[in-house]
Amino acid sequence: MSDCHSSGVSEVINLASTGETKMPVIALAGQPNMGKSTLFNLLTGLNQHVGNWPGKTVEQRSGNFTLDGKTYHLVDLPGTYSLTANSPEEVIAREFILTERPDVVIAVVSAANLERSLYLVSELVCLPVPVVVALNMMDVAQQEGMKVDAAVLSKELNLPVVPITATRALGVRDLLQEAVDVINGKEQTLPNIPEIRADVTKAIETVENLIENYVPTDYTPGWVALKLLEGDTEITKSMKTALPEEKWKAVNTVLLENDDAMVVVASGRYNWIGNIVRLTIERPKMGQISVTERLDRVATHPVWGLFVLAGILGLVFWLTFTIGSPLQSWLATQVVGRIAGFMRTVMVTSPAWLRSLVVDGVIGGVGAVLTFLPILMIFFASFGFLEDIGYMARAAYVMDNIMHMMGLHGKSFLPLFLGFGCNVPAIMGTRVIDSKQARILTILIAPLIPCTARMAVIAFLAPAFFGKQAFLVSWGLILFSIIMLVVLGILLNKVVFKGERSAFIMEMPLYHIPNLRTVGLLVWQRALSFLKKAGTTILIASVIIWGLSYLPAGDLNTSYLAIFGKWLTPVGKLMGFDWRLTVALISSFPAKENAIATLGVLFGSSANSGLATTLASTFSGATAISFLVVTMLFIPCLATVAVIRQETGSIKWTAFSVMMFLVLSTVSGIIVYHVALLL
Amino acid sequence: MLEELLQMIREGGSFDTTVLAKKLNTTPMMVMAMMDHLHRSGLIQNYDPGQSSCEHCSLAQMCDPEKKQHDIGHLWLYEEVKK
Repeated sequence: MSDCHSSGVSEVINLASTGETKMPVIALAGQPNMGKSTLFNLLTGLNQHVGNWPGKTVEQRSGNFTLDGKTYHLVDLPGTYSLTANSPEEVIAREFILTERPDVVIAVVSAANLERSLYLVSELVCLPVPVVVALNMMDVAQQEGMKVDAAVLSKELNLPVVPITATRALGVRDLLQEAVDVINGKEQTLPNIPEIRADVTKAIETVENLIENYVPTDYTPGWVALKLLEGDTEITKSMKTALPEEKWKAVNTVLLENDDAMVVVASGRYNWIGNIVRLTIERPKMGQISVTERLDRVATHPVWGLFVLAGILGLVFWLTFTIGSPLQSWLATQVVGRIAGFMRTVMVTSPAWLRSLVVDGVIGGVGAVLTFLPILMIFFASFGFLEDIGYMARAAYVMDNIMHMMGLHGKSFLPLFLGFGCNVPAIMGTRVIDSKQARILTILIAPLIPCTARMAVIAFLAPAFFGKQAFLVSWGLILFSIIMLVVLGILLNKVVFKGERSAFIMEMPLYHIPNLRTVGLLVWQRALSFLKKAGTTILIASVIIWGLSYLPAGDLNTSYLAIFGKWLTPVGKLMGFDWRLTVALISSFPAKENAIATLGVLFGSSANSGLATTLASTFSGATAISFLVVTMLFIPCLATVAVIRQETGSIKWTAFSVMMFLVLSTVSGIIVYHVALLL
Repeated sequence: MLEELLQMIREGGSFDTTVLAKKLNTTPMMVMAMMDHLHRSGLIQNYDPGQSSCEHCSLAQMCDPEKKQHDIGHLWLYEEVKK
């Protein structure tokens, strides 16, 4: 094993002046969001200069501060995660340190997230400059119940470590004093450095020997060799130019032989960080974290997690049917039915077409849709609650687990994850897929995800047709839709992704007590959005449907709609539909809720029986289940089709998608209807 | 530690950072830091289901992508590249 740089720190304290000023120079380094800028502003106040780094668009901030009568120049380096040339900020930070050689670098780290912030320190300790660590955000760590021992951290790093809370200016004077002591040579720094796996260390030494005489003056050969093995683009480019061809070939051979060095070097640093953190931090044993862990033993378990998910889904439906359906039924008979009756009486002298438009078209259509607002609100509240307590991420994780076991590609899973609320973001979510072929095929299967609108239509119709069995029917329909998705997804993986391995990694949020205001607000916003839709899209659709059902002679059975519906009867009949159900299904294309509106227009509302009761007494169980299955698998709504067109950029694929769902739903409907007749 | 993490990911599957942390005998924060590192190194993809996929969507307001992002935490994706 070897250290990450061979020259040691004694060389480091060879201080250089900045050229611009005789003042000692202190550089502030740190990852983004570690409180570096807060510290900089606190020290320099208004005495700071803001501009750009030479030749770059990255902001440069520097300023002066005075301590015990002596002025110091402070340079705020750009926030960087590491010192490898992944971004202009990282190049600027390391170039400044290597070429300008500040008198001391203050590395600002977060006490609340040492795991992340120490990575930069693991690189800084390999550079030829003295380092002092500012252990910032001590207050945040304390709030999170963490005990961070600065003395232990200092011992493990073998560097001065000063705990501070920059936002409250706590510990800042001690930090500056420590930095000044280092500048004045009162304190020597000889940091402990990360160890790197022996074979890569050997490779670094080989490269170091090859490049020794060709390294720019400000750099050390050990550090350049390390960066070459890490695959640093800037260093590779400059060394390729600087080295004679034969030397570069020899270096390149070593680099190719050690193509995993980038990970090995970083791994050594993380091992170093892990050991330090283990000794430095004491975390709370009980509380929210352990509650989350205990709950997740069941909720994210590959088998039990599925039962939990199925149970929760069942509970949502049970709540909907127990609370929502009676409310819906009451609204249908006592509110919409009565309003319809009242309007019929008030408009008795009005022309028949106008009365029919208001009563059958507007009240029948929009009214029927509005009655299932309680069902939707329970849906929104249930899912809002599950999102807010942090369960939805678990549900996605459990689903991905099972789908992965079945061979579904991780990228195909993403649309499912995003699409439970609405298919539109699901299709947008396929942008993560690079292959055009795979992306198009994933777009094609995405609408199989049961969206809220379809689930709400199911929640409205299932209790009407199946009474107490509605719970099982709804649950089975969702399962059926997901099985279809998995079957097509597996096919997709075998044919398009050709069994490539993929992984999906999630950070689970902690479970927390739901915020009723947040859930309430979500329900309110979505209910408002639904009402808006009822007042626009659904109203227009209802009027059109009414017009087609009234014209030309004011008789439903001889209307244009009936002619159209009857023309489709041969296909509808195979699924057990009469022309009215066929038309209701087709009308769900602009928006799924239109199916209810159309049924409302065609079957009407009254104070004696709501739409649900009328439907239940009109159609058989086989027709009902067939209609529900077809609704689940039917052509996605207009908004989804528009997004398919936008995302595929092809009318051909959009038409294919529409046709695919038309065929899939029709064939499924025919099979389900005939099987149900046999039972 | 990073090598072991990458090895586990390369075998494929679904992972939760807490479970990974237990397997590596470290903290979830350390796993998160390493995941971000792998993302910066281009070895895995960071997936933002919120803004990136919804920025042009007319239903974004109803969908509340910001809340969705907050609720689900971070997502990363590894895809095997066949040589």
